[in-house]
Amino acid sequence: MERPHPSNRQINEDLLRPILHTSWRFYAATLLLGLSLLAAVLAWSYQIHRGIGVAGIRYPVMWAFYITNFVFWIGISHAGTLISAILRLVNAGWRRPITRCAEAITVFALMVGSMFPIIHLGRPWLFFWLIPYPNERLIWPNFRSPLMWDFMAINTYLIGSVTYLYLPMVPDLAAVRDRSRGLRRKIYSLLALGWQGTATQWNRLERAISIMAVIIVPVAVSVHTIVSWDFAMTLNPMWKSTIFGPYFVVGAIFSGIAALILAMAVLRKILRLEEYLKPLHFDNLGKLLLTMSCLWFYFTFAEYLTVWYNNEPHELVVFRSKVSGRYAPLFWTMMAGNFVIPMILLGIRRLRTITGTAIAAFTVVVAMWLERFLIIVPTLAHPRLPFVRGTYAPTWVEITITVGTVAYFALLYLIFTKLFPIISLWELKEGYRERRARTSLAVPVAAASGAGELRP
Amino acid sequence: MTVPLLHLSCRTADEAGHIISLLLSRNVKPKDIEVLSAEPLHELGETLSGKSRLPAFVLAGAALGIVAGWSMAALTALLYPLNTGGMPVVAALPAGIVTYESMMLLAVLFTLAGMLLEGRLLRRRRKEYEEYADSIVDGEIHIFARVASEEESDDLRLAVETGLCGSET
Repeated sequence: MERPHPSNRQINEDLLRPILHTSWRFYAATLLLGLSLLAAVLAWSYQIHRGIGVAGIRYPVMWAFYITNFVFWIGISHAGTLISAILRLVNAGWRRPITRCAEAITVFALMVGSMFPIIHLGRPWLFFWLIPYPNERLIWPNFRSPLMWDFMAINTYLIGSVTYLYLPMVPDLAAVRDRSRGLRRKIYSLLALGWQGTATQWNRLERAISIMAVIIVPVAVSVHTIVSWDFAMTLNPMWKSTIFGPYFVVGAIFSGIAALILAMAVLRKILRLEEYLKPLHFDNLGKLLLTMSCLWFYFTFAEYLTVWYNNEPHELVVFRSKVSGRYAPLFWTMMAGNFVIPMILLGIRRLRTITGTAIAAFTVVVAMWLERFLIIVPTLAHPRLPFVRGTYAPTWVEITITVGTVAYFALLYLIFTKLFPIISLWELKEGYRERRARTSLAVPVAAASGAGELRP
Repeated sequence: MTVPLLHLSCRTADEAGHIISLLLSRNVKPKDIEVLSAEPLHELGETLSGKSRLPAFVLAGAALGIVAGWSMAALTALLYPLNTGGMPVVAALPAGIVTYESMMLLAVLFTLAGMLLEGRLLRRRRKEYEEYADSIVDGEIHIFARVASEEESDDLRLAVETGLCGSET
């Protein structure tokens, strides 16, 4: 028999608890992640002080860990807004508890990812030269450069994603406001923008969210397509490809779903959200991950097959370095993590449990990072002129910054869950109400006042 | 003279729907009815909130974005006409990409602005809301109606109290 749905009061208590009460675990986790971030900041400061030479990048491999991280995080950012928007547009009822987890991933992944081109700069303090403004140098940025398109696309996506995250959060911020006192109440009053929950406000909010969902999908697709064009617009071996746009988008959605599953598994455990993040959600996302794994394999196969079949010498050198040369261990780890393991763990129904799905998601996240690395470094290490071939090995500076930014992402996410409801209260309540109406179940409510109770 | 305010509360969307229908059938105008709830009541939204102009905001933003994006990409290229690789100074495809992103950006910002304006946000909340905020968060639906007189308010309350809801003023 189906368990009764939690009442509105129960939902409020469960989902506002992490905001209104803080445990020592939160401070411990914040401290740990903060220290990792501090280590990354110190490493970056060292790089700024000593120059970009302290990183492992050497001619001709001028893009390596930093740009790998940039592409990886921009890919992860496709978790949220895109998935959430698509699920909203198709009105998938099971989306309700997961949309905000996903949207928050997008915003923070974009914040982390967009830092890397700046970290990669030799003189990072001049990054603002990318911003199109009338300046004393009388030179505007070159809008014909894919790097400039990147800047435009990422900023549009970041602003769109923040808006798309914030709009559905306004009613929940009002709920926190109404449940808190003192300074906290004042802050949430500002954030709630004077929300009252009138029929007009609800109507306009839902329309705005629908419009945003329609807008954000093509923006998300354009962002990773443009990131792929940073590579595909060159003549480098295994970069000049017409399918790089969709290949990157598929990879981005793939890694994004994996990141979402991982985040949900962690949140479910830490915030005790078993009542809301159910096996059904992991099962559905697991199936989606499996589909994307197949799609990713198809694109990878198409990409590698055409290179091998063309038999073009410069391309084949890069191809061989990946498949059977210096980078083969990474390549086959990538294949195992992105295809073989997800196929086993997600394809066999008995193994598609929460743990199985989370393990598959973890291998995908790691393998997708390797995929980005393998796209960038082997090509640069084997340019068309054979006498400038090079190698790449990361230094402690790059590794510390990479690890530190992972911690930074986790820290941002942790603080977000502390300040805002990680599951949309009103969407959840609306979903339960709709389900109750469908099944005509009268559901008892634990609350003494009987608020939220369905009367016969 | 203050306008009498009828206040009713109930717990389900169906009940709220019945009350609103009754109020409308008694010639209370939609603009005089205010429903406060913790979740959207789709059935009532269209009736009480009037026509939305949000799509117009989005289109205006997108149009402005097209003009701004194209101007930025094409006019600056003309300002510094560097011909590289035999390609045109104003290249339609790259300028199109910049235009597209600019169009989307302004469409997003105008949607947000439209939501703030049309949703009447960034204003002081009604006093009545403050009073019932807790119960609204817990799922109660509160309905306020501006009526012509105390007698009408009593009549309406009586009509509603046929078993659907608890009521108070």
